[in-house]
Amino acid sequence: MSKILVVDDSMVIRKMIKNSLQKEGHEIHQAENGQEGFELFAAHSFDLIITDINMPIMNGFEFSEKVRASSGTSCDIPIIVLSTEFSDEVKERGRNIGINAWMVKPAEEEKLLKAVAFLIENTKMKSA
Amino acid sequence: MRKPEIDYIQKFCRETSLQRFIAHSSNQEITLIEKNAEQVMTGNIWRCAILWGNDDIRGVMIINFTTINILAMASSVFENTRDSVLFEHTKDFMKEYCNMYAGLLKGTLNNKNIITNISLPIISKSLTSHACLAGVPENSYKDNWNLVLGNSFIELSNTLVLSKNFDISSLLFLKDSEKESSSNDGDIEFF
Repeated sequence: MSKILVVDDSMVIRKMIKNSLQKEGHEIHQAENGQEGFELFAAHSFDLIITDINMPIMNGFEFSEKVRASSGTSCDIPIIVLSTEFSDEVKERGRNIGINAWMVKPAEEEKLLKAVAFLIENTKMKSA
Repeated sequence: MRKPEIDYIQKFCRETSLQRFIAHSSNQEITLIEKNAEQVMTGNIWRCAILWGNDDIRGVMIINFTTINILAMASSVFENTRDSVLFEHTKDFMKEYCNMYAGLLKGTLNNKNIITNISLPIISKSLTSHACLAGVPENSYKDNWNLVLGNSFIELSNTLVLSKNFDISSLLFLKDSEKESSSNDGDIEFF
């Protein structure tokens, strides 16, 4: 079981992701925007982050930059962006920040679960 | 004379609205029909809107809906949702739908070097078309259609504004708009 932080301003999207990931036994924590997400990130130890990009207060880019700039080993946590956006320009920005994977909404459950499993496993192997 | 590229982008907007609603509602059998004067929306009507574009090409999508219709058209999304939050979830569902619609337009246009941006969606009961379309010139291009499942439907209207500077031929790639509107769904790319 892994501990996953889901950051999205949409209740419906958070619920869909939570339902999918809980089937696999993951523990899900939720935040409505990047600022709330960073507060949770700083207070807990997570295995993976799934974040939206377009959110009020603090968007997903700013949030991911703060995570990567944070101190400690958790700054290397895998981050999946789940966004309606998919232009080359925004993906390049994500790549430069250090996002690990970019998924276009609406998410397909199977693909999302595979990506989560792959990134968590990959992180475990790196730290072993 | 109206250029065919206007029809291409209007058709693209229609198809995008349909494909995105189908995907967002967990693959319900939604269909697109022309706005029907006999089909009148009644009850507790809400309106949501989203803006997209740049100085030379921009659009306003306005959607009328009732929560009852959304619950019927995306029933599986709302399974196991507590009654106390159901109403808020239907509004949230429609805001996210607006995001998905505009996000696909932005991504498709930006990847062809027509750099656009999108607004955050707005939703309100008191939101008037007049407020949404403030500053839109009379000679803009308007299109109306419905998305339907059984007796339930939502009403969509798209207003497109082009400046004199806009190179209309840059929209020629939308001739094959069916392919564009369903591309990228659920795609994942590892960096």
